[in-house]
Amino acid sequence: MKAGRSSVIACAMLVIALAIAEHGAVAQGQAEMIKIGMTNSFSGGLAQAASPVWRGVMVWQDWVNAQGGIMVKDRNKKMQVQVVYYDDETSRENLIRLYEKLATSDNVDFFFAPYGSGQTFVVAGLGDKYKKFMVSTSGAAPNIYQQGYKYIVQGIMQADEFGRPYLDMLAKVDPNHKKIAMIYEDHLFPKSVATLVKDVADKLGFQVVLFDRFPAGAQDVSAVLTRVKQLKPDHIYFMANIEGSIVGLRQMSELKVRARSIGILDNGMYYYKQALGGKLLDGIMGPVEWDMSQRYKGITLGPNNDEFLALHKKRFPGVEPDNHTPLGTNAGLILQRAIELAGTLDSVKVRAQFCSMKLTTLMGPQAWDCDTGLMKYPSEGGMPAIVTQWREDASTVTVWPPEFGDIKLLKFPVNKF
Amino acid sequence: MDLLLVQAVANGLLIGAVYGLAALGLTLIWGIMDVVNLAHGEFVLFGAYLTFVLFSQRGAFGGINPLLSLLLVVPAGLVLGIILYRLLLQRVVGRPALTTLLLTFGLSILFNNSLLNWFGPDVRIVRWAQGSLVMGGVALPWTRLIAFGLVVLSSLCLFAFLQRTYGGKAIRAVMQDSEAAAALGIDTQRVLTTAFAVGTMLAMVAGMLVSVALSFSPANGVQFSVTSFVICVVGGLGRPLGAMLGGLIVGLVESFTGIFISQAYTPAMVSLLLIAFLLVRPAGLFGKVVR
Repeated sequence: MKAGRSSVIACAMLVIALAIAEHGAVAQGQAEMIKIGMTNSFSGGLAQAASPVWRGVMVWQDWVNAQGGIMVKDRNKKMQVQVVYYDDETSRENLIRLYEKLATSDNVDFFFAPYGSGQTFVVAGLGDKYKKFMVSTSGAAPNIYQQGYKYIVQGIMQADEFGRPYLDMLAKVDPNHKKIAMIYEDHLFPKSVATLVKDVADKLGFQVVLFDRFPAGAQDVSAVLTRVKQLKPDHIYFMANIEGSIVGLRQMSELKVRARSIGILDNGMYYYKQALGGKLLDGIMGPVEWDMSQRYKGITLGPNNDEFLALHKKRFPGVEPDNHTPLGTNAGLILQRAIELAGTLDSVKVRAQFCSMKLTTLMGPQAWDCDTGLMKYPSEGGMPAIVTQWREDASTVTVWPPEFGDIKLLKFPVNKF
Repeated sequence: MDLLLVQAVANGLLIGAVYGLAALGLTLIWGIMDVVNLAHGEFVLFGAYLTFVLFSQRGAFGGINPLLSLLLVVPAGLVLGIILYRLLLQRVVGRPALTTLLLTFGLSILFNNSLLNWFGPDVRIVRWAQGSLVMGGVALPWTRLIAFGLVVLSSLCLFAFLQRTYGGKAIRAVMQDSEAAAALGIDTQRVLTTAFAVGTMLAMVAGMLVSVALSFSPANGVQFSVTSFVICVVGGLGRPLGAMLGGLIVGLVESFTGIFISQAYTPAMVSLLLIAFLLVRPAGLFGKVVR
């Protein structure tokens, strides 16, 4: 009997040992990948702008894995990348829950932040909570990074840098016409841009005849545009998310709101031409993070524009990349370089690289403030925003700043609508 | 200032008419069967997307005219209403309010996510009749003028239906007293089916107008439902004239608030309007005051 019981126990121990070994093997197999967790707004109010960023991340994943992965010195090998993602449905409640799931259940090594300043703000502290370094793909609002969190850096230019170039250009090309109406959507990103660039406008000597907001997601902005029309400004700066800008431009044309120039944010996005067409867009201008016409010299990491387009076409046939897509690719590239420099997957050491790291990708030169993780301004080697202008054939040209654009291409005054 | 005032009135009336038509369907359904249809906004979206699909058939400048698309939108709305009522709503009419709310809430989620899956989250615009009529400095977008005209026509048709046809009179009878109507030989189930079908159809016609006058995406479904709800309260439940007038009032409140105060406060002002009516005249403009 005793021998029988011992046999049973031995068998049980053997089974348990095998199970652990197998699990260990699986776990070890999983540990060979660098797992990066993120959510994307595949649905909800920000889906139109967010999904291109996610596609950019996927393009980067394909690109880096095709190179063999990221070299991690303390493992003495290249490790492939796996991006784990969920649909946050543009819901703040989902964001927290999903990022916690990524941290605890999926055991990711790093995070990419969700789309946009508002959503990034919600999850910014989770990097600190779970000690997992987070790269913000598209959180331009500086207050995200001024909360004292140590595990997040900015992968896009700051909001005021984003909004400034349009005003710089106007001050240069049209110094005798300084009346400007500034309207913004009451959402974190456009609100951040508007609040910061109002100061810029004041310093550049603009007379801000109207500074007003409209509710986020509003379908009808005819009231505020009627006020703008009555004030007869020289320039209009309409700062909104893409959906808001589509509504605003259409209603400007309907109400015959006229100005020497009209600026919008995220100019050049595919969705504008899809919704509005080239004829309405002709002459509209504004800042944007990237444009196909923009080719930076001296790329130190990652694909150039043509390579990026080819990768995108392969991964997402029939889908056009837009101005937001390389934000996702860029986030991957800066994380990759930081890991390579750190030689480890330790989040503290990876974050520390941003104190001295500089690189140039297809989105331009980049450098960071060590304490806050904010992207530095272009004068300090940080990412620049550019100003592009639409043409009637629905193409765009880069017109500003002079080091990246051609002012001779600018159609001015536009005198729309 | 005078021009601004005229533009404010014009803006408010033109958009308010579209709101009113959207609410017309809801007030009819709510008034006759005491069902708060939380999927109402999605019915509006169905009409908008159907118009968009037809218009986009051969590209933006070769598609089916949105006015002609009514030939499909109207019957589609009636058929959808009949199917939904017979299959689902019929089972919950007369049940506790929570039951009907849950059912229509579930439908709202199902329909909204279906639209999201089929069409994606992109904002859509039907680029038709662009431009405006400018009269004395006041710009009147063609799309909104046409929408206003269609709302007037739809309202007259509905009025004629309710006043002059047996079906319409039967609907009014059931709305007043369903038991008495049944006792007089009116087939109440048939009447309720008809009312739900007409309400759905009106919502989809409103959606067609939204597609040309505004922009839309699946995310706007809730907004349409909420605005229609407010209008129903302002106008009085089951009162078509009240819905139209309520729509115009909401449109004017939004327009005047946006122009003379700030557009940022328009949702708050509409909410205040709702609260004011609930406190002062909960039956709405044309509802029966019960003492």
